[in-house]
Amino acid sequence: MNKLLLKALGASWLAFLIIGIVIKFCFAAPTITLLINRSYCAQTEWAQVAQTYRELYTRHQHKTLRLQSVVVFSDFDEAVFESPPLPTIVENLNIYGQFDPHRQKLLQQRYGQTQVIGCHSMKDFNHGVSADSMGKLGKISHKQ
Amino acid sequence: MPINSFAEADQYLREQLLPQITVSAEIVSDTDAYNAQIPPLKDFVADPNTYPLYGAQPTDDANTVYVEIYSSAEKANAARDDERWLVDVAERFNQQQNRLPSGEIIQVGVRNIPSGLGAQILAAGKGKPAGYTPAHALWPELLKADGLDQVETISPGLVSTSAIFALRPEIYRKLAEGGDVTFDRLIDAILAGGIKVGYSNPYIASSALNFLYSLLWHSAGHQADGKPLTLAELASPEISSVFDTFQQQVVLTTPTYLDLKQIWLRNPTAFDVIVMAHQSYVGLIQQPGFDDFKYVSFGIPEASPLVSFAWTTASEKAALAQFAAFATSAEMQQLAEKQGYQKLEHLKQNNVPPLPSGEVLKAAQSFWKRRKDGGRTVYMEVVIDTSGSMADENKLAAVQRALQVASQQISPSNQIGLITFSDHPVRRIPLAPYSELEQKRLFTAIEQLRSDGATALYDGLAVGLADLMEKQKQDAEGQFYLLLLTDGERTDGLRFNQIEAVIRHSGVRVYPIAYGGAPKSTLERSHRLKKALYTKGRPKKCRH
Repeated sequence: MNKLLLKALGASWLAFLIIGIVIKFCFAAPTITLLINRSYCAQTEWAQVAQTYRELYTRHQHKTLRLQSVVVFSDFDEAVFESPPLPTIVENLNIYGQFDPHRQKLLQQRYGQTQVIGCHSMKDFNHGVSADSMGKLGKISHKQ
Repeated sequence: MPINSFAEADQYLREQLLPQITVSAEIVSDTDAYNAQIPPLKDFVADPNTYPLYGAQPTDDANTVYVEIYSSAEKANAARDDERWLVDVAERFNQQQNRLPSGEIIQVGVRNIPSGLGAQILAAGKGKPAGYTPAHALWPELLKADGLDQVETISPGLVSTSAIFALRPEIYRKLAEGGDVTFDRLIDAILAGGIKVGYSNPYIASSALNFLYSLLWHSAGHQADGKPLTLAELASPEISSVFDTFQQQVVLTTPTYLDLKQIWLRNPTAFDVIVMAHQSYVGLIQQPGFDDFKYVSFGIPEASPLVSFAWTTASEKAALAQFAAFATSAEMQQLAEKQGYQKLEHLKQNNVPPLPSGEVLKAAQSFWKRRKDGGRTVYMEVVIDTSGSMADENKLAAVQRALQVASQQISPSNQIGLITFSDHPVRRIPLAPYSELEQKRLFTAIEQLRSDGATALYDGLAVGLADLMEKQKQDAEGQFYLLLLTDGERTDGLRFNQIEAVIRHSGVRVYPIAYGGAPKSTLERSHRLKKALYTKGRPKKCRH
């Protein structure tokens, strides 16, 4: 009787464990490296980029998205945050310089699963149109 | 009453201190201001003969060809062992009694004038030396743009060094965690914020002009294509954003980097990084506490070209050529190495911006002048001691001359006030946007200053602070400065301990400048409070 009970309990725990592992792998929160393009744009445009980051940060807090690392880049260099910075830090980042699509491409290659936020996008650059004239804000591009 | 905030300082100043002070006003009328005739700026360019001359002296001897060379300060300062290379070269050359093929003996005099001031003197026609050896080739380009024709290169370089950022070791270590510490990496860290920068005036200092051009060139993305900066690019908001962000990190701008170096030597935490020449950095790291400081090089080579002018005679050119050959000989280059001159890695790899046109450089200097305040209004109260002792040694005249030059170089968006003090303070120019009329009013007010009476130093300071703090209530984003020019101890009015806490919480940066034999103790009190600059007064220190 006890043996049977123990077997049933063991099987149940094993089933729970397997289901847990299946759920973890099948329904896991996506993990990305977030690239923040800090090239210059108007403050109103940057506010929308900051808002986009705030939403991503909230998802990270709720574990529906995992921000593995956050990389802020300009046309001079890049800086890596070891853990996602508070949204207010991103909101108050100094923004300067030109959009550097080459650096963005290199970072996307280096980090694999990336998401890019910033005032400018590769599309703007490829089409030779400035973000200002496009009027598109808080753009996101993915490379999976 | 304990003072721990701006509000408390303001209340104490207005309720306790100002009622003790008698303030009068002598404002220049609109009519007088309108009628003022301001001489052109070039009339104020310094007299080159006031700068020290080393080596040979001018001579009327028909058997001698005397050539005078204006030299950048960092290689022609006989008073410092690490800044006197060209003086040593000239002395050795003169001893050899070298002759031209025609038989005349060549004698070389070296006049120590900062590169930018030398260029201003030459452009204004105030001096006609046979040769000019600034720190780098940007200055001759500027002279060409100023209309000096026949600026001819005698030697592309007498001695090689490089512009650098000198860094505190902890800043360098932090940057090195991310890989090699390059110019781009350092600039990005500065732009990101949190690094205190000491910079100098790109109208005077070579490394500052070199940096300004390099920053703008990099900002335009030309490190990728190697093309020179263009005038059109200076209008780009992206480039402006880099410059404006950089300027926000600048805590002090001095005429030359040698001033920054002296401040750093007294207070190593005054800056995290400064722009200077590598050759001078070599001397810096030999000082106690500076041995582990680091550097990052950048820019065009600081090769000390030697140029001649339209007025340089053929025999003078030949003499300069012989002198250049002597200076670049192996023996003299070894002497240069002993004084810290080295060709740095980025120069060996020729990883340098191309030489721009003088027009672009002039535009870059104007760009700096126009935007250096980062879009924030600068409020400056100039508080001048007009006590009787300022008449001695023409001290007041020197202050007047310096301020009249400075009065022509202030951005119209800024606000300047003028207060004088002797027995009591006198308001002469209220803080107001610097329109053309205000410029004339300030010029006239400076001209009218007369010295007489006692030294109510802290009364003048209190009135200046009160005016600036009032403005601060209306514009919290502004930058507030008080320039205090005096030559003596307070003899009347408030005492230092009465105003000490007010200064500390005023939000105003106080720059005391000592004229003549001012007791250092007086000004160092303010220095301690605001970490301000104790400077021995000279007219050229006030100019920019």
